[in-house]
Amino acid sequence: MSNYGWTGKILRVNLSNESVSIDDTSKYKEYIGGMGIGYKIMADEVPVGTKAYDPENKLVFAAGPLTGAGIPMSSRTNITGLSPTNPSNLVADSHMGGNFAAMMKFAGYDAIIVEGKASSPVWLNIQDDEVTLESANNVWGTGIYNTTAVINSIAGKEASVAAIGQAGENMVNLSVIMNGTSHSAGGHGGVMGSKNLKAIAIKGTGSVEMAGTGKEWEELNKYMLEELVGANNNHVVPSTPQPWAEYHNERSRWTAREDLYWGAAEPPIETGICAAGDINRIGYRTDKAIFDLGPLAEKYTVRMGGCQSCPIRCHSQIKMPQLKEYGVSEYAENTCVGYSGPNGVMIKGSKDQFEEGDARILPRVLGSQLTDDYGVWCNYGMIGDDFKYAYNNGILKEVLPADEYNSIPWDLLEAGDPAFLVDFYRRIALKEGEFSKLGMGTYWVAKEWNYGDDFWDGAEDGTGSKIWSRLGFPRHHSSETAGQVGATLNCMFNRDAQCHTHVNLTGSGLPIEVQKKVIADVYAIGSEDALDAPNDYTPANEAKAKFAKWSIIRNVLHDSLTLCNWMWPMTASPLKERNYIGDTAIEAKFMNLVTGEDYTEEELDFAAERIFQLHRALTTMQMGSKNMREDHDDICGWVFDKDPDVEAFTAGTNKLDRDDMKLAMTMFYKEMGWDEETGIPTQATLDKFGLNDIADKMSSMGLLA
Amino acid sequence: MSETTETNVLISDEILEDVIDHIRQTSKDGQLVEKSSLTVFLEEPKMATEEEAPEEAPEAETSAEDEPEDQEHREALMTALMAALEASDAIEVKTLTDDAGAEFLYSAAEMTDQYASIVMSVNNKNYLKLIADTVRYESQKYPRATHISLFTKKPYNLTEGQLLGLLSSMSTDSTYADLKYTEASNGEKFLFSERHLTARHAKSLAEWEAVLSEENP
Repeated sequence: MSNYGWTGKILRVNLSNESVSIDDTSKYKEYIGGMGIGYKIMADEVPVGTKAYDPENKLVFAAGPLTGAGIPMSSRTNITGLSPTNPSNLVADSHMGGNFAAMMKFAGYDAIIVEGKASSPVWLNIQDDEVTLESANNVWGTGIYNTTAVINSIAGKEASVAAIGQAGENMVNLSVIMNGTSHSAGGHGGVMGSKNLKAIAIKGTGSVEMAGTGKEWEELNKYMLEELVGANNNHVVPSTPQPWAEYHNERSRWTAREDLYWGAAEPPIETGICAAGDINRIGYRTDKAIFDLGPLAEKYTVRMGGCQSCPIRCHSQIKMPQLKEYGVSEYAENTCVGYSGPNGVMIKGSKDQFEEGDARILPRVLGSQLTDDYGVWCNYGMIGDDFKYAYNNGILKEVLPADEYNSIPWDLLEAGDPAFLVDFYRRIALKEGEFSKLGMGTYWVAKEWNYGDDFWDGAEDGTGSKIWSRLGFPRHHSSETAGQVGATLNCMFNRDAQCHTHVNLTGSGLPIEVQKKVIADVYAIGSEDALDAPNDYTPANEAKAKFAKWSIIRNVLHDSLTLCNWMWPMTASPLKERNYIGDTAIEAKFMNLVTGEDYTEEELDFAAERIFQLHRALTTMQMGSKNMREDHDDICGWVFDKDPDVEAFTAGTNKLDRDDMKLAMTMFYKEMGWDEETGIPTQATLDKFGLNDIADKMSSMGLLA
Repeated sequence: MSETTETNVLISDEILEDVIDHIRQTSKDGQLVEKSSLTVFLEEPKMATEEEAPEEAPEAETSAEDEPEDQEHREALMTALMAALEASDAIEVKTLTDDAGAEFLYSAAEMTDQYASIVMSVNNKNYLKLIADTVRYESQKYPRATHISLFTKKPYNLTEGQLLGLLSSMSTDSTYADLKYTEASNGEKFLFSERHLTARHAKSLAEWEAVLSEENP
């Protein structure tokens, strides 16, 4: 293994015996980094059957060789561990941006393995080679904002602090780990809390060594920024008609335009038109404030923020004095579901409170403040739907003691007053009463409160559900995104699929005929048949199976390199002169530049597939499943039963057909080298990826196909 | 120095650069350049090079704008300018003609044909046709239903009152019989062309844009 890209060291911290040791990264080279290192450590060190909150569970904070090397959109931390939200506590990943990953590399570590359980609350203080455990008694019981401030006052203001709030401490399943007070990794906060670990602070003064020259680095960056990068989610057309752009799309996140301002900046700053190729204005392209919060947000926007080494500023930083009325700071920062998740809790809608139009913005920014401080996760918005079902079906009245039920300010909820959120999130984070079971996550709360089949499968007309799997995870760019492609990949993870490879293209804003040419240019797919026009689907085919596979593999690759899959891959380009075709080999070009190795695009995808094969094997073993198609890959009924007045494959519906989806899954299994009936990796496939030890283990468990 | 052999009129590099900059910037700003407006760049003494320009322009020449030979000279200058633009590697100039026959220029690098076409239609005030062409194009090309608010944005720039009036006129004109309304569940209105989308498809696309895309961020 070269000394470039990787630091070569993994920090192992055992909280039980307070020991610290160093592992050599080189043994994980085949697994690249990030997610790959995480899965390999889980496979090697965590026994099958371990539960998420057992001390034997581990948390692996890992980055890849590209992080810290100044590669665009590369400051991602991949956190791997058993997840408490699904019934078998299957392995899962949570991810956060910010600057934690880069700082970890600068401190000299590719990963941090946290194992065991501290006897009392601690935080981990990493200052390059100096690693100490500190008492967390002064911050335990407080929120992430206070914790971060206090620890920064000790570890230094330059330190990156990844912390949990009260939700994590209380082992609320739906809790986050957060750095930078807004960059959150959902799902593992409770595991960190179960280990009595309040935070990890890292200050690194080193750097990531790179094999290539500075000039080569600059040229490759320039090429990418001039020719490939769009706006957030790599949307490559602007949201309004603009002189330079052939196409536009109102739902594009390339929202910059004339007369649009960061209105709370002093003085206000106009985003202006930020044409493709103008690399010095990329940071203005994505005004996510108005996209997430509506037009009123313009005057409350201080600026757009984001992660280390990322030109796409997707976190809106808001100053809204009215927030102080709710007992929180007037500042808020977040993006996307960080805002929409809390809004989904307002199940009776929201009404204007201080000015016309603030119903759109207030619950989102207030909710983001509360969830970020308490450290509550929304399960990709599903907590609102779980709550809605219980409330609308009278379940809460049945399961909550009367005094508890009557103590909840339902009047605020019914009146559309976002003050309801203050009460809601306190109960969840502090585990107050029966109501707080909403924080257990969909699978568990539905089981505890005996939700009906209509919760999972939708009402008779197929409406009313957003849950994807009976294992408790919601749809996340599923059947509404490229039909069978989104549907297939939504079945493949052990939480909501955080895969954006496919949706970054379908949401790019390009016309369908252009998108088809773009996807046909991808070496692993090679056919326009991989993509249908929106809501005008065709039956399953081999190209769609390949698209689903490539989408997952690239997602896994990015989480291992580590790059942001909310932007990567560069499948499409904003440039007409490129026929809008991006460059899917640029990950390999950056990899070779940084590490001095000689990877092809195909070789990197192969390495990523090894990681995903391992994920599937770990999942199979933890479930003890002999039929993953039935036990794991099942899809809730509403996907097939919606729009009952028309058949699937009719223009105007995105419903799927059960038989066709079964065929789609079989085609996907075939692409993956899995048993086409059971969806379990075959011996030959595991051998092909060097996973012989895993094959032996599965065989001994009687699980190998 | 650029020149045309037919007229033997010379366009200085300085003037050519100024004209190119002007066309580029105007295109970047989303406007077309009326060809006749470029005469301002061709006026004496700016026009002449140091070598060729007289110390002082003869009084007769500066005051005899209506003389036929002067008109011919201006036309020759314009012809030379257009030829110089055509020959320049620094810009690709494209031309559109409005309904009155006036020529307009734009820089292909700064403005797309699509955008220029919209601006020209707005200049011509062909609003009904512009709306119809836009809706049909979007229904076929993307495909998507067209949010009616699009026409209040640049470069359409219609007021809400104008737009409502135009849409009302459109509904009674058989030329536009293929254009239909659809509505998302939040009440937002869209147009689509039945030539390219079924009503059901259009409604589902409108619902996605106005409601569901926000629920699936």
